[in-house]
Amino acid sequence: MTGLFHAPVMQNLMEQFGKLPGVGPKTAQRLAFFVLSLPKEEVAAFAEALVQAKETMTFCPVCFSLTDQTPCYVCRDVTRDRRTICVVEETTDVFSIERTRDYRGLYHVLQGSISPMDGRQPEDLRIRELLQRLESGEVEEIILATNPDVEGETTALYLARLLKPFGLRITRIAHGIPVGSNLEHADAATLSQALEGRREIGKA
Amino acid sequence: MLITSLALQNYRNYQQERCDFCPGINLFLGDNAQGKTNLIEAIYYLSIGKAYRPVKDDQLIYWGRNQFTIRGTLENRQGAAKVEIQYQTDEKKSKTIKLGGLILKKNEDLSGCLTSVLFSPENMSIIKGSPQERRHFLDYDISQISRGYAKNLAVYQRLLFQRNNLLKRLREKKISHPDKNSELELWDSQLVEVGGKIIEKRLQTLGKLNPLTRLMQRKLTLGQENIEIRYLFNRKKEIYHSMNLTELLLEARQEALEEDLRYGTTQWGPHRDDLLITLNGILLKQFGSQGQQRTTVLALKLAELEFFRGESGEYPILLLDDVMSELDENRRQQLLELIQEKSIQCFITATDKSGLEKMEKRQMKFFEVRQGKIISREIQGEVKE
Repeated sequence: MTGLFHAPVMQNLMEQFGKLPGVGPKTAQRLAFFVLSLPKEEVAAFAEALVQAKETMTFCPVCFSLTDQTPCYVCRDVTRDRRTICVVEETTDVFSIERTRDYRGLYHVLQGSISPMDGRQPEDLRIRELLQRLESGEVEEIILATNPDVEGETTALYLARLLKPFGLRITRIAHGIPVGSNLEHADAATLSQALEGRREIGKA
Repeated sequence: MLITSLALQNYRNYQQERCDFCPGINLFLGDNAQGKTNLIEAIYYLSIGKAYRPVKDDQLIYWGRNQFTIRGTLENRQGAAKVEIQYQTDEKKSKTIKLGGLILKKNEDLSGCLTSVLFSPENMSIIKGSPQERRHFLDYDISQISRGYAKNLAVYQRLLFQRNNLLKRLREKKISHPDKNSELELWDSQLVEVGGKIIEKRLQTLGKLNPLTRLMQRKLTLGQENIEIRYLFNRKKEIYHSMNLTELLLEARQEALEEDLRYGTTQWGPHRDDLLITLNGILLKQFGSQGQQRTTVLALKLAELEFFRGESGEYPILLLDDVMSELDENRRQQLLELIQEKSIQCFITATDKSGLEKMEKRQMKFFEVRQGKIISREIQGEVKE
């Protein structure tokens, strides 16, 4: 840890905090000592919340998003359009798209993207399960909504190739300038990409 | 383009210093190790938002302090803007770049505001150094004029990194013949696509840079020498703009596949290419004299000036660090002539004025630099620029 000796219990606590993403040794130490400053009930509630969340939340057996019901609230909603599946990397992406209230189809959460540096191969993603969902013949369109980074693009490319024989409509979300913002606030790389992906307008 | 003022705080050996530049020629005079180059370096920093390789930001901080600030006023044909770059090492190291008072989201967004061409003795590595140095030279030029290119380079690096990771894993599993539909092919198709775009842009740029360099070289050597830059694909095959790059890359991939799997690295692509610089048909790196190599680098740098002007409609600023003493009388005269002909803002470091005071065609400003202080400023010539 930060070059200091600590009581074994504190050492352990810091190591636990250090497992969290974005938390380095210094922050881990600060968090550990902060926990000690809390009243005992709050610490118990904190620990309880961790365990409870872990015990309650499971993966939806249909779309593999994290949920407290089986299947998840989207998959069990009969008003959703079952002909469209939007493929995303993480459950948090589902929430983002749900916020739009415009999308009424279903989801499929891959639980990651193809990334050799993290040892994630296509087999490690929920791709087999996606193919199984297509067997019913109900699905007509797959929207590939993986992140627009190198790994996300690669995953989209992989899926596009894999799904081609199914004869579905396969689409990729567009990327470019955020809606409602000004061009002046967009960074040059995004703008340059938006220019590349420009479309014709005003055609009958 | 112009930089009209520069203010430094805790930067290198400057605690607090400020100077106003003239739009003509600015001369930094002083003995060795007084801080002349540091001024050039600070101006360069303002133009690209980072230190001249391979210097680290931490090394730029005045000894014992925990932050440095570089401020400057830039002028281009769109108008003027203040730039401020601050780097600090408290708690978490961070760099903030402000342009016109607004914090830039990406530091790279500064590029293009003030384009600069730097010529220092280290530039000899363009000729003598590794292929990487020559690629960097070309990539810098293109990145300055195209953000799309800079983005492609970054994407390519990432793809390459991921592919190499995959290669190493395949090697561990002893899969020597991955079939066509494998994961490897997935990365390769993208590497070929992005790599092709990169090479295409490089060839295109070289097509513009080549005649400009030849012209400059002839001017510098009074028409005696003929220079040529050619693009070497995979360090062995000369290629031209008209060639089918996708085909070339796919071929190279096929050829290197076995080796790639054995070494766990990618042996083909724009990161393996080189530039071949010849003088009167002779390979300069191996057979050129020191003087020929130096003149060639100067010609390349002067060609860069014209290239940037062709692309952006404005001359970049020219930074000449410690080069006057390295050129013979004839070439020095040619260089000074060239500088005087064009309305380029110049920054020159030298140990004394000798040979430089004769440039009456342009306005000049002399700065005497001593131990991290600019102790005198003196203007010569009319303020007509």
